Amino acid sequence: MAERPEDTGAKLEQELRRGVIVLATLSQLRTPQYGYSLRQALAEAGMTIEEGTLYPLLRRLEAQGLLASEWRIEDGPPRRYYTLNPQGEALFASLTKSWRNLTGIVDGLIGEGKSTKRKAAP
Amino acid sequence: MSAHSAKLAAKPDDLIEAYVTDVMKRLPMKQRNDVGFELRTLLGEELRGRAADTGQSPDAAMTLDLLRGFGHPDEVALRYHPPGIPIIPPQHTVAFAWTTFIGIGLQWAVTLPMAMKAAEGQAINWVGPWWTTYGLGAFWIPGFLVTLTMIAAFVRQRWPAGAEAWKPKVFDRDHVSRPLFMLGLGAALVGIGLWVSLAWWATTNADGSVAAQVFRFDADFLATRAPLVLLYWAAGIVLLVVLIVEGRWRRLTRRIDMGMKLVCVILLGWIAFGGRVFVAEATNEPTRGALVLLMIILLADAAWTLWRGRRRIRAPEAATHGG
Repeated sequence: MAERPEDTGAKLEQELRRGVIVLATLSQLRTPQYGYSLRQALAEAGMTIEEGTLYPLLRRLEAQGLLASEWRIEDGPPRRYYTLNPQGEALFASLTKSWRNLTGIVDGLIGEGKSTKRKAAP
Repeated sequence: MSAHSAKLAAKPDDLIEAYVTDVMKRLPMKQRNDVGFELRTLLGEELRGRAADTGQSPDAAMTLDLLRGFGHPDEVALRYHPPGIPIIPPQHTVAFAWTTFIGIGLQWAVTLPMAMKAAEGQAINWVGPWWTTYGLGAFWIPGFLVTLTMIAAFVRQRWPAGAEAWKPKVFDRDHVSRPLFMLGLGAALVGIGLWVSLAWWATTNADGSVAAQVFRFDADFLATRAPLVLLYWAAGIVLLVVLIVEGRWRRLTRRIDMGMKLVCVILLGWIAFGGRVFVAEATNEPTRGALVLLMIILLADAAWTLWRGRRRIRAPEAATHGG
């Protein structure tokens, strides 16, 4: 049975968002953050990421050698704070460059698509 | 109290603790404590955040909603794992499943009739012994395949460049290797010579040694079926000679070859089940088993040849646009 167009649209949008989650997360870890504060910061910026996705992602990025982390006890329970390490900073710079390049290309394509369509229309 | 109402009566902290414990069980040992501690803290903060947003105190229903939204412990544990190396890559899953089913099916197909025959068809006598030997034993096939795929996964990880380098498989399917076919022709002639000599020797020394008695051919076989075997071999030799001379397969020679394979299966069936081949039981039964095995191999080879010879890439049907 064919998938409903609205389901397909939702899935594709999810895939699109999934592609930028790492970059969005790295962008907020230039200053130390713990899981909950990071999620709040991203949500305030308009990038809502499910907690079930974000918290494991932090661990995976750390395991991949991109983040440094430490336990801190301030006001409240002990919290694990994450921040970019030198490798993470280098990757963040590289991904930012790729992202800007990509958005420029896609913007161009989307614009080109419109003009082509206009030209092709009778 | 039902399980559902028991969950709703539980304290939020207990629910979080139970959830975190479930996730931890699915994590590598060295990660468990650290991840578990962090996850428990974060879930607690998430819950308090939700409570503050709604202006309610955290309760069991709110906690369950949070935890179910977080994901099943299986999924959550999977997200904590770094990307691993799949033992069976997705693109090989279907081939793996087919190989397993065909392998198990073949072992059962060959051993079931043997077991039934040995027990003279009485199910009570053969089902148990067959299942505990050949039946259950057929599952060595997936185990063997998994071992091979594990070795392949190790090779992919250890030497990724070599494993990923694509090697073109472009070869001339119609080319006939003359040296190889000449070797086959020689082997066929030697085989026929041996077989005919054996038949002649065993028949002329029928009253002599034990070996002659063991290899003595059945008179009916020699009178009716054996001449057809010789005829078939003669046809096979003619085909081999034609292929060696021409150096290539043609559509006609391929069709003749396929026809001969099918004729061979029928002939083998007639030899095996149309009466005795050898007079001695000790020689006749293993020969019959070998002939049946050969029939299966020939049928599989014919099926493989047909499958391989099909057109791989077909042109799609062109859409027609009405004017």
